[in-house]
Amino acid sequence: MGKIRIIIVREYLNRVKNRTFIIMSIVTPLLFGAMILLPTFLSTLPSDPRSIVIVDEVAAGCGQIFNYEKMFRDTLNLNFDTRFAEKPYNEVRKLFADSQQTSIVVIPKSYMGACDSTGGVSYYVTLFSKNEPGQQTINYVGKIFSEAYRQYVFSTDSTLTKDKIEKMKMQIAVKSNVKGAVSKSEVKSVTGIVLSIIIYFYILFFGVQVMKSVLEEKNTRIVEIIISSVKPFQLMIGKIIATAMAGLTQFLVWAVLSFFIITPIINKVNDKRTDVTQAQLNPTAIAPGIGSNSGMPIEVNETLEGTVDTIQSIQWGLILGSFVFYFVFGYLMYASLYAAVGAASDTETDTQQFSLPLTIPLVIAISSFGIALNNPNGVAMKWLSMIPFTSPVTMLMRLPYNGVSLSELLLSMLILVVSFVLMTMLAARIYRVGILMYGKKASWRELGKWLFWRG
Amino acid sequence: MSNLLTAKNIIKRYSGHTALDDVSITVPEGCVYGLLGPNGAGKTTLIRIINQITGPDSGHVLFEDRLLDAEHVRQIGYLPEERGLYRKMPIGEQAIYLARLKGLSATEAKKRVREWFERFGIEGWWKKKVEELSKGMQQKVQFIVTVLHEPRLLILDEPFSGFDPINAQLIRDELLRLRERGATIILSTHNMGSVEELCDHIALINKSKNILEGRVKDIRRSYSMNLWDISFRGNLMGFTNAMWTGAELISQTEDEDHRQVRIKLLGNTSPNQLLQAVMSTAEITGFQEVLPTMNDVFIRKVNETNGMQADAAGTKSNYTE
Repeated sequence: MGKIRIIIVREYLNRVKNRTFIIMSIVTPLLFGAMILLPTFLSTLPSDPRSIVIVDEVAAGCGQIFNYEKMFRDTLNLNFDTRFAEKPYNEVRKLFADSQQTSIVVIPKSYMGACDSTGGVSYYVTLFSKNEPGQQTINYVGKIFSEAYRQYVFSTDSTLTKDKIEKMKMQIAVKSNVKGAVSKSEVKSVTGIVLSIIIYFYILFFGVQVMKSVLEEKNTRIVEIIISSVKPFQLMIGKIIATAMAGLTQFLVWAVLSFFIITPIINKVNDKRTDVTQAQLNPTAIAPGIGSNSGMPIEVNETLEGTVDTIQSIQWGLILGSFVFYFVFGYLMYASLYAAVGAASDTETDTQQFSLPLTIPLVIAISSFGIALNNPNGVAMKWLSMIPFTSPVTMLMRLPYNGVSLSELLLSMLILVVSFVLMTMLAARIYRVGILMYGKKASWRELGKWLFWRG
Repeated sequence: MSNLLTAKNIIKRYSGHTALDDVSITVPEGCVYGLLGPNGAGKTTLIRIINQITGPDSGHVLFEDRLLDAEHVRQIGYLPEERGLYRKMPIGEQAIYLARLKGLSATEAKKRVREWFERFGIEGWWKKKVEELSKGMQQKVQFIVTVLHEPRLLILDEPFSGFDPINAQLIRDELLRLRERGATIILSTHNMGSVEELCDHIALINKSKNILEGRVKDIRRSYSMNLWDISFRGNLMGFTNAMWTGAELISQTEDEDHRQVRIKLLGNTSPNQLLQAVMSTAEITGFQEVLPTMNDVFIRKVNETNGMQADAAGTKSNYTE
C-alpha cells in the first residue's frame, strides 16, 4: 500500500503540474463565463426586425384612449402593427402562431383604470412572444407606455403633485411572457443530461489519459524498472487512482474559479437588469399572488412555481449518491480497460483498434439521450442502464424521472461493481504481459492468449 | 563463498515456444557473474524472473536460502537493456521516486541521490529533464538509479552499450568498487572483452538451455587446446625439426632474429618434454600457455550445441588474438 501511495503522489503531481492541465483548469471557467455572458451580450445586438402587434382591450371595451400613431413609432428593429387592436387576444394569437419574430402587446381592460376598474387597476401591459424578444424590445415598449401613461395622467388630472410623478415612474411595467418556458420534464432531462455528460467526458478524457500514460512508460521503457520494484497491478491501480484524483482536482478548481469568475458576472448582469427595470416595474409585480388582480399573466406564476416544484420532486440525495457511485465505478472500470489498451499497443496510432470498442458503448450511451427524453423508462433505457458499459451514463438520465425502482437501481449497481472487478482483473492480465512486449502491436488473438498466461 | 542466488530448474513457456528450459544457475556471493548467450537465448526472461517481473512456470529462485519474495526487491538493483526514464520529469525527483519504490525513505533517498550526483559530477543537473540530457548523461542517471538503494545483487543487462569509452570506464570502475564493498553483480552481455575483464563466473545460455556454467578461469582452462606461445632466438627450421612429432606449428611471426611461434602440443607430450627438445636448437626467451578467449569458448560451445560440430578436433583453431 505504501508503494501505491508513492505512485499515486507522483502520477498525481505529474498530471497536475502539466501545462495543459493548468491551462484547462483556468480557461474552462472563463469559457463558462463567456457562455453565460454571450446570450446577454447577443440580446443587445440589433437583430431581425420584430413586429409588435397591439391588442388594446381598453379600446375594444371603452374606445381608444391612446393616439397610436404618436405612440407607436417604428424603429430600425421594431415595426408596430395596430390593425388588430380591437380584436381579442386569442384570435390575434392564432394569426401569428407561427411567427418567431412577432410579439403581441396586450393592454388589459383594467389598464390604468381607464375603462374597467371592477377587478382592480392594472399598470401592466404584457408582451407575449414565441421566443425571447430581447431586453431592448422590452425596454423600448416600456418607455412607450411610461410616456403614454404620463400624458394620460396630464390629460385627466392637471393638479400634479410630486407624489403623483413618483407614482408614474414606479407603476408602468412590461411583463414579458415567453412561451415554452422551462417545463417540468425539461428540468429533469437537463439534470439527467448534465450529470451524464459529466460522467461521459470524465471517463473518456481521463481514461485516454491513463492510456497515454501507460504508453509513455512503455515507450520510455521505464516500466521495466518500475515493475522490478512494484507489482504491475500496483502501478496500474496507482495510476488510475491518481488520474481520478487529478480529474477531481480539476473539477474543484473549476468550481472555485467559477465561483469567483461567474458570480461577479451574474451579479453584474443582475444589477444591470435591476437598473433597467426598476424605473418601470411595479414592486408588487415581483410578489406572485398579487398578480391575480393586477392583470399579471397567470402562466408566469405557474411556470415559476412549477419549476420549483419539479426541482423539489427530484430526489437529490439519491441522484447525487448514484452520480458519485456510477462516476467512480464507471471510471475505474473503463480506466483499467484503457490501461490495458495502452499496454497492448506500441504507438498511439496502434491504440485505435483497441480503444474503439471502448468508445462505442460510451457514445451509444450518451446518444440515447433522445430516447430518455421521450421514454425514460422504456425497454431500451432499461437495458442500457443495466449493461455495465452504458449504465454509468444512462442511469443518470433516467434517475430524475423517479421511474427507476430501487431493486432495479441496486441490480444495475451490482452488475457494474461485478463487471468492474472482472474487467480490472482482465485488464491487469493484459497489462502485465503487454507492458513488456516491445516493438510489436498485439492482435486480438494475442490479447486472448495473454489472459491465460501465468505471471 | 556462500551462494547469494540460486535458480533451480527454471522452466518458462510462452505460447509457441519455451523461453527457459530447465535452467539452473548458482551465483556465489561477491562475484561478478556473466550471463552470456546469443540474442533470444532466454537471458532477459531469466533476468526478469530473478527480478520478479514475471514468474517461472516451474522451478524456483532462492535468495540466500529463502525463496524469492517481495521483500527481496529492496536487495536487487536492475538495469534493463532497454533503458528508460520519464522524459519530462526532473532527474533528481525521478531518482528519488525510483529509490523510494525500492523501499528507501524520502529523506534517505534524497541524501543518497545527492551523494551520487556529486560522485558523477552532475549535481547541477538536479532539475534538468531527461529529454534535455545527452545520451551519456541519461546513462549515468540510469546507473545511479540502479545502485542508489545499495542492493546486494546488481543485475545489469548490457550495461556498456551506448556508453562512450570514458563513461564505460567510469561504470566499470564503479562496478568493481561496488563489488569490493560486497555487492554481487550479474552481468548480461555480448561483450566478451568485458566478460574476461570483469567476470569471475559465467553461465552460457543457448536455445533456452544453460549449456555451460562455472568459473571463468576453469572454463578457459577446460577449453584449452594445449596451445603454447614460444619466443626464441635461432633458426625456425631447426626449431621445428626439434619439435618433431611432439607438437604442431600453428603460426609464426618474425622480428629480425627474434621469432615467436604458436604451437599445439600433440599426444601426451608435456610442455617440459617440448622445452627439452627445442632448447638445444634455440634460445628460449618466452614460454606461455595460450588459453581460449571467452569469445572462442562462446562461439565453440554455441556452435556445438547448435549441431555444427565445428573444429571439434581443434585442428584449425588458433584462438583469436
